[in-house]
Amino acid sequence: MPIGRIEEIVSERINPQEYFASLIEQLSLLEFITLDKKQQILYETIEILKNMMERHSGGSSSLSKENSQMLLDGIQFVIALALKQCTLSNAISLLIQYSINDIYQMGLTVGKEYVLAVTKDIATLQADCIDTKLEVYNDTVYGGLSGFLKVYNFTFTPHQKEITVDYIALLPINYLDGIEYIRQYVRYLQYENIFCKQFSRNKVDALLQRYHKDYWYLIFNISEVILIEAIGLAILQKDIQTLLVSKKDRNLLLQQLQGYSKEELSKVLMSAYYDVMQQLPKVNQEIHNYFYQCMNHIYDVVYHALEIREVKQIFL
Amino acid sequence: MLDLKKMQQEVQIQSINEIMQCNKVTSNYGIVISQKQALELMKVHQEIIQELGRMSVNYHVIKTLIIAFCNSAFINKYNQQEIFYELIEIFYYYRDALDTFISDEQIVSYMQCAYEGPCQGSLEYLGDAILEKIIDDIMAGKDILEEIQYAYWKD
Repeated sequence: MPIGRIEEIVSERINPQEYFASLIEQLSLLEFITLDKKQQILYETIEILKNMMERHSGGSSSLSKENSQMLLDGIQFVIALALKQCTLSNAISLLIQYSINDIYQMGLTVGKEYVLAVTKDIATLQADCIDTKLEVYNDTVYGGLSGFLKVYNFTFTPHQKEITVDYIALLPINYLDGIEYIRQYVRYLQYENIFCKQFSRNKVDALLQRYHKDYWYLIFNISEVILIEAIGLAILQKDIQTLLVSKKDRNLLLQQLQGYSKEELSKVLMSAYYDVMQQLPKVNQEIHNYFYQCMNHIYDVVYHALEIREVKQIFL
Repeated sequence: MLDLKKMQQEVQIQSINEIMQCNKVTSNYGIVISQKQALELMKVHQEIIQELGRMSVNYHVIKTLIIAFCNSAFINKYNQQEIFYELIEIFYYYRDALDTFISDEQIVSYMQCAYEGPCQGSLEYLGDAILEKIIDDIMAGKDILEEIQYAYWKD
């Protein structure tokens, strides 16, 4: 079977959270790697595990089942870090041409670079964060992320994400663990911060006050509230920087949006979304792509509000 | 995820040969491990590990114990099998009790010293009173090997 076809089949079946193990399994099922090669990969992984067990315990060749599995999961995570650096066909070639220990060493290099980059990114995020009273945001940005750096152990448990992330990013992060998860989370928060900072601090604060008078105790995403409000204003062709939908405007929005079919509503929301993004000078393509992916969720929120005729909860 | 149990089975086959290679050394002392005995030792190893809720991806401990104890005055070709079974069991009781304080090699050296010295070949004493002594010595921050050697000379 040609590598292109293999790549196609494997990419559909691969489990992103068990990248290494599922890649090996699929390649073996497709008989792209022989049983001997699979065995060899297994032995080489055991060798790494053996060394890690001895390092972890200070010279013991046995550990509790939980700790042994934890170390094995960590090894697989590091190997996957290296494999994910290249295209699937190159990852397959890597598995065939290099020893597992070589790939593991490559993964260690990648992971260490990630840790350094994330440490810098967290410092930047904390320096440029949104000036808000929302406790969950401040606790996560200052406490949670700094706490993660303190407890994260890339050597033995690189796949674990012992972190208090109570402030949820607008776009859910699926299938990522350890440093990959935090890297993505910090990146998402940076996009959201840049977006939120395009609006006046006072206007944002007033908007959040209308969201709930004691908003600082609640758990919600700030950029979601701002984006929906701005989209509402864009639909009405009003100044999005006001972040204020009057009662009259709200009724207008309800009347206008309720008449649309699902497809029409989606089109109107997307068109308004493009309007909003065009008016924000600091929103680059990367940030635009991020919020574009969030639009499915925004559509669901607006659709649900229209269904129960409660738009005053989203257009504030 | 890769399964540890499956990995252990793979290692078993490779390990029989490694244990048999001990014969190059042990035969000098009249101790020879047959393939059947090697398998039995691995079985005991697995059972005790499972009983203690531990996991090991090799049988290095068996090899280390055989090499360390083959020249013992208390072990001969008639009792070797039974004694090695018990030594593996006792080793893991030590390992479990001592957690990550000391390495496998240190435990084996300590057991060997105690077995030849204060225990005078008594496995019961080795697995009971001596285990308590090593825990106490470690907790007190003492040099365990020095402590057991001193106990030997004192006796």
